[in-house]
Amino acid sequence: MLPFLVRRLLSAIVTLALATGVVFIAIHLLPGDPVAIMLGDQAGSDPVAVARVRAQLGLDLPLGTQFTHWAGALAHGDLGVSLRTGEPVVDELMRRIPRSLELIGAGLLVAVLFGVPLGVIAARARGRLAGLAASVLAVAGFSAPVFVLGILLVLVFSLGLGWLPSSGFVPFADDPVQHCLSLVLPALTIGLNFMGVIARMTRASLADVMGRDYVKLARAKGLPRGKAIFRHALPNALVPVIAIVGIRAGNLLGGTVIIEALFDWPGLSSLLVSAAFSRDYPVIQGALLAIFAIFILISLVIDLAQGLVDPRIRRPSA
Amino acid sequence: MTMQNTWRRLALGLGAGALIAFASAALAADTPKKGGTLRYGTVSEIVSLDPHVYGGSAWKVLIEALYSPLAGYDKSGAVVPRLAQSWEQPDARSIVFHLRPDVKFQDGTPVTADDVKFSLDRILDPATGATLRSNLLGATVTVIDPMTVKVEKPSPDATLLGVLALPEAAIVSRKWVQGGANLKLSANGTGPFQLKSYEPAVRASLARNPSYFIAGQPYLDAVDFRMIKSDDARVNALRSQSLDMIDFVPWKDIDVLRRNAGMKIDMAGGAFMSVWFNTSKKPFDDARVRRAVSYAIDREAVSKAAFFGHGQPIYGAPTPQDSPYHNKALDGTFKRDLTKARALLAEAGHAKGIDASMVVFQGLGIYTTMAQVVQANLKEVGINLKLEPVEWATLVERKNRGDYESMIYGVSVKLPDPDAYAYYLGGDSSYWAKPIGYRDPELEKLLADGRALTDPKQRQPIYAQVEKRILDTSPWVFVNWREQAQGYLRKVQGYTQLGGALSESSPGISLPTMWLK
Repeated sequence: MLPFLVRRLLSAIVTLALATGVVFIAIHLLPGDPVAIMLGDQAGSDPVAVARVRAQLGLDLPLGTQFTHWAGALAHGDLGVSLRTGEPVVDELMRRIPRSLELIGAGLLVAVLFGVPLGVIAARARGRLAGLAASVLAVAGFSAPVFVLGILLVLVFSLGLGWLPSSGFVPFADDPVQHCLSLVLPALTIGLNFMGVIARMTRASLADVMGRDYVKLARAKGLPRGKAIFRHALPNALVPVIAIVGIRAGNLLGGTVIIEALFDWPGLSSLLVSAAFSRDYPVIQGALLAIFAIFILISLVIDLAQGLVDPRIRRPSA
Repeated sequence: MTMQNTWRRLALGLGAGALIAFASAALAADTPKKGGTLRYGTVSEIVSLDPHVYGGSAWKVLIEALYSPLAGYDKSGAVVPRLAQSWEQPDARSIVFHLRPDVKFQDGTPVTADDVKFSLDRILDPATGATLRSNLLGATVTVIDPMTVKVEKPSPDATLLGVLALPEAAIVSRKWVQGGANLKLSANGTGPFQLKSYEPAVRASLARNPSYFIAGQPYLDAVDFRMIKSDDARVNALRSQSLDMIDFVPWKDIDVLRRNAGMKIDMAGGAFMSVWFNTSKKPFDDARVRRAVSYAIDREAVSKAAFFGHGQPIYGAPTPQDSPYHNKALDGTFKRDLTKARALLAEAGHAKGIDASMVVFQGLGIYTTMAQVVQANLKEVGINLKLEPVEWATLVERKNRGDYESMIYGVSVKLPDPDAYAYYLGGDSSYWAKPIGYRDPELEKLLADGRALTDPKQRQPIYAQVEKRILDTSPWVFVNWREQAQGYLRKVQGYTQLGGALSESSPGISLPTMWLK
């Protein structure tokens, strides 16, 4: 497995380098001048001031030179300084990434905790009322747009019952309890939305596995249905589920814009969006680079996790 | 001090459309209580703390809390002393400021005339990208003694004091800035509050400045800024009382929140929506076509559709009604009149109709909705308007290049002085006129005359002519005021909403004397 990992890592690094190059060129080709936006309505319309500030930030250099500077600094682990905030991009990312990972992790946890049992129920009770209910719940979860789901949760749990804050990130260090409370609604929104996908995936995969010979054999030996499912069928059935959780996790890294906005959770997505709108090049590049890197890391972790539930994947011959 | 009195009267009247909240009068019996933290939710993200580069409405409030200019505005909109305890105007070109002797920056260094010179020179340096550079262009700053400083313009300028009283004219410490401080990330001011912690685009926490130069102020212990872009999140946070106050109450929520007994909504028009033309390109190079557009637009409909009724139509010029410069005679100029619009188009040779395009910011409902209403209105008189939706960065670039036929633009009132027209439409201003090469000699002359005089009585007739000229030529069509509302819980006391150019500053002006019941 080790050579496989090394090969994957190498190809990942090449992909990363190519992707950042493409991103660099693409964002610089977009219309819009970061300085004109940054200086606001008044100074931003003043060509003299705009030109001077551009020069100060090195934005007047040829694109090739700018790229070499950026890539050179990157080789030393320096992602540059945000044009807007004057803060090193690394500092900004180090604050935002943990928040995003926490939100995504909590959301996926909710999705798995609800989705897998729901899928099992749907598979076991197919054709019965419980199975139908599980299916309906699953479909409702993923067909409701996240903002509708989010607003609904806020209306019920925050404005209605007053149990949870409607929005607002509280740093863990400031107040651990408030921090966790403020995580509940956004995590539920992500989780309940994705739960449906997991449930359906589990159900389909489980139904498939239940039909396999080894499960039939286990059943024929007299193993109760429940035991057959949990001991033999489910671990295998979960392999595709884990894959889809991994893909979703990668997706969510830059894809929780609506959730972050609705719940005022300052993660990676909102940083990327506001940087894109204001053409803060170093931040866009840094954030995308981070997202690519984490994505690659997640794929590796998923491979390992699949190996854990399915020993066949662990073996090199597999 | 007569100059100062004149200014006071002028600004009082201008109060720039002051919608002075009745709260202050009704609750005058209550004595302010010290202490507490005000949690303030803002729509705009503060991404820089540089006090000289405008960074949005929340930035303005924050800067007013952290820094002080030489003079400032009070809750009635009058110019009052801040770092300068007094001043005199030897002539219409210059002002001599006498500093308070006892003021220190947060880091303990005293404020001197040299810091004033350094700050104003920093604003004048194009490399700063300072907001007020164009207003102060040509000014020289002379240190007379450590506590006295003279600011001089090359020609008479009635706006000088008013400009120096804006928050963007904050005084910073020479030693601190030249020592390599990062002004975008840290602060060292003389304002009522000090920066405790700050995360760009997320939050800023302020604590009382114990040595603020106005004794007894501020009342609050702390202010917590939370930047919440999402309208729903901001409103919900106020509703669930996890915030005490929010800015930019969405128009759709104004009436709903007003019915809530636990809340107050104060609003005033601080910006106006307008249609900008490229007067050097067909078909809007012809004033008749532009006026036809003005007659054709249904401003009531725009207000209802885009602002839920909170967007008072402007049929004349965008001078607030309680300003001494407001000209009633112009009030009904562009009441909707389709016959006149068609006649003007026919006169311009477009009896069969014309095609034109309009650049529209796609990121905010008020822009897109307004554009759709305008498009339907103009269709009725035979103008086929093609809408070009763009995101903000593209819009700014096309505006600065003059690359458009027409465009919808929300203009925030730039100055509590009618000389703002020079910024909007003056030939030397790169805001709108320069990129498209617009210069109206008649308007230029009137604006120069108005700027050279300081007595409002003498200036009034000039600005009446200015506005008449602007409406006759209609390089912009003024559509409606954009009411900007602050919403807060009843326990929040001492807030006063001003209008016009001071609308955005209102929370900053009120902050030192706001308190929690």
